[in-house]
Amino acid sequence: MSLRAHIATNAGEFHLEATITVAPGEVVAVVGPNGAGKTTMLRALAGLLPLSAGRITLNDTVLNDPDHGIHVPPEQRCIGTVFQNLHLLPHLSAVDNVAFGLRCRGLSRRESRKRAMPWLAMMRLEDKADAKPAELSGGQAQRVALARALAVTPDLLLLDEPLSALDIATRAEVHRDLHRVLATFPGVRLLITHDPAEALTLADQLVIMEHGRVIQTGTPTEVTLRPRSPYVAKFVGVNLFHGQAADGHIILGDGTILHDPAAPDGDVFALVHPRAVSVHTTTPQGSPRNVWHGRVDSLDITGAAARIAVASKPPIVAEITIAALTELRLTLGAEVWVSVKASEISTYLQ
Amino acid sequence: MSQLTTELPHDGAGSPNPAPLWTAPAPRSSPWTRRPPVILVIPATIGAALFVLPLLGLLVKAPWEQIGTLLAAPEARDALWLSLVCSLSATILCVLLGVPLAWVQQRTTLPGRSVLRAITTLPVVLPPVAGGVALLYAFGGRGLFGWLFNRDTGIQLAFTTTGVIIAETFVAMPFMVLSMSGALQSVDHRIEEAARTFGASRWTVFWRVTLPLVRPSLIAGTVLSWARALGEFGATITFAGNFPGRTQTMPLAVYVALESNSDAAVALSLVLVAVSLTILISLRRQWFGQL
Repeated sequence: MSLRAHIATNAGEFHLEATITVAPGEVVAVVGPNGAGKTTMLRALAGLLPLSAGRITLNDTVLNDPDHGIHVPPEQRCIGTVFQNLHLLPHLSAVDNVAFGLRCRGLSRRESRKRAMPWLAMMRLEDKADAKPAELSGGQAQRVALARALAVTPDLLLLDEPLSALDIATRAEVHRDLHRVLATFPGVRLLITHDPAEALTLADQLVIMEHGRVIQTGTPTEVTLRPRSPYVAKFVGVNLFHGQAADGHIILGDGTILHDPAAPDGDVFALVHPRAVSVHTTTPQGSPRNVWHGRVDSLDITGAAARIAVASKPPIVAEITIAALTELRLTLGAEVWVSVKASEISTYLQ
Repeated sequence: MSQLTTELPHDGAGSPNPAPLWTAPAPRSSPWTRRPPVILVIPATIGAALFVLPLLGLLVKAPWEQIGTLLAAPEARDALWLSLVCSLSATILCVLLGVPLAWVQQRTTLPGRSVLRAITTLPVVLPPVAGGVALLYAFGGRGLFGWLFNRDTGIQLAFTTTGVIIAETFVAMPFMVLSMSGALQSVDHRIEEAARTFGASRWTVFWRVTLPLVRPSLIAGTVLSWARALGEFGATITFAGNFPGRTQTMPLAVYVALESNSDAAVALSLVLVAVSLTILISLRRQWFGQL
C-alpha cells in the first residue's frame, strides 16, 4: 500500500508543483499555511482537478498521467476523503451518508445500510443513525464523515483538516477516534493540517508546503530539530535565523551578528529554542555574547510557561516560567534584554 | 472565500448592525404607521382596486345557479379537458427538458451558455403572439423544420393538439429554467464534488444529490410552468388555431364565449381564477423568493 504522486496543476492563478510519497505503513501529514496548496493537492489526488503534468500512482494503479492521457475520474478512484467542511449530504440521514458510497457501488438500500451500521457503531453513533447532518453536533458530524470515508474501504484515506472545525473539548474526543482509525486503517493514510499538535502526534512523516511547493520533508523529530524555513520554525515553535556563517560568526540578513563557535561556514540556519533565551530587565552580565535589546511585543501564557515575543533586532521569542515572569514584572512594551548562550544555538547548513 | 461565507454567522451574534451604545429617544409612535401620507395612499388604493374590482365583477356577475350546467356543456367540457391534458403534457415536457437545460447552463462550460440562457428565457418577456408566429415559421407546415418533419413522419404540428402542447411548453419552460437555474446556482458545488469522490458518477450525483437538494425549486418551477401553460392564449391561437375539441383550450374558449354566451365565459374564467389562486397560495413563499 503506497502512494507516489508528482503533481503539477493549476487552480486559477495558483500553481502547484509537489512530489509526495507515502510508504507502506506510514501516516504522512501535509502541513502548510493557508494558501500553501494543501487543498489543491487533495483535490488533485481525489481526481477533482486535472494535472497539467506529473503522475499519481496508488499501489500499482496509475490514477493520473497526463502525458499518456490518463485521468481516472473521482468516482473510480478507491479513495475515502474527509473534507475540511465535511460536505455531508444534508438531505440524507447519518446512516445513509455513510451508506452513500456503497449505494453508488450498486448495493441495495437495505444492504448498504446494513454494512454502514458497523462503521457508525465504531464511531459510537448507532443511536444517531436516523439523524440528518443538521441535527448532529460538530463532533458527531465529523465522526459521520470519518465513517463515510472508511465505509468504502478505500486504498487511500485523505483527511483534510479533520479537527480544525471543532472546539477544543470535542477536538480531544475526535482526536482519539482519529488516532485509532489511523492506527488500524490498512491503506495509505494522508493527513492535511495546519495544526502542529495534529501533525506531530498523528504523522510519521511531515511534508511541509509553502506557496505551492514542498519546502521540507522528514519525520517530526527531524523537522523539529532542523526546521528549514521561518514557517516551519513557527510551526514547531522555535526561533530560526538565516545568515552567512564564517569563523563562528553568523551575519544575519539585517546585519546582526550571532556568535556560535560551532557553526559550519556557509549559508546557515541558526536555531534557538525559546527556553534557551534568557530575559533580563537590565544589561546582562557574564558570559553570554548574544544579547538583544528590545521591547515586549506580546505575552502568551500556556500552563506554567509564558512566551514573550520581543521586538528586537532580530525579533525573538523567549519562553520563561510564570514565576520568572512575575519576578521580572514584565508588561507589554517593557524594555528588556534577551541573551542566548552560544552553546544553545544550533547551527546547520541550509 | 467560500470557506469564509460558510463560517459567517447567519443571524444573531456578530450581526453587522450591533445596537448603538447611545440611541436617540424614539418617537412615541412612528408617523409611518399612524398616518401614511395621502400622496402614497391614493395611488396605492387605485392600484389595489385594479386587482380587486375585476375579481369582484366576476364574482357578482357569476351565474351561480347555472354554473354546473354551463361547465357541463360540450364546448366547455371539451375546453376544460383539452386544457388539462395539454397543460399537464406541457408541464411534463418542461420538467423533462427544462431541468436538463438549466443543468447544462449552470454546470457545464459549454460555449455560448450565456446566449443560450438569454434565448431560453426570452419567452418570459416576449409577447406570446410573436412567439406563436416564430413557432409557425419553425414548426408550421411550411416552416423551417415543420415541413421536413411533416415530410418524414407525416405528422403535422401546427393547428393540432400537439401544436397546443408545443406552444404551451414554449411559453412555460422558461419558468422552469429560471427557477432551476437559481436553485442549482445556490447548491454548494463542493457537496456534489464530495459525492463524486464516494463513487457517484455525474448522473448519480445529479439524481441522488443535486435533485433532492433543489426539490423545493423543482416543485415551484413545475407548478409555475403548469400555471403558465394553463393560461396560455397568444402563442396557442397563433400556432395551433382555435378549433373546438382539438386546439380550443380554456382561455380560447373564454374569448370565444364572450361573443356568444357571456355566462359561459364568466363560468370558465372563474375556474381559471380558482386554479390560479390555489397555485398562488400554495406557492407564496417560492413565488416571492424566486421571481
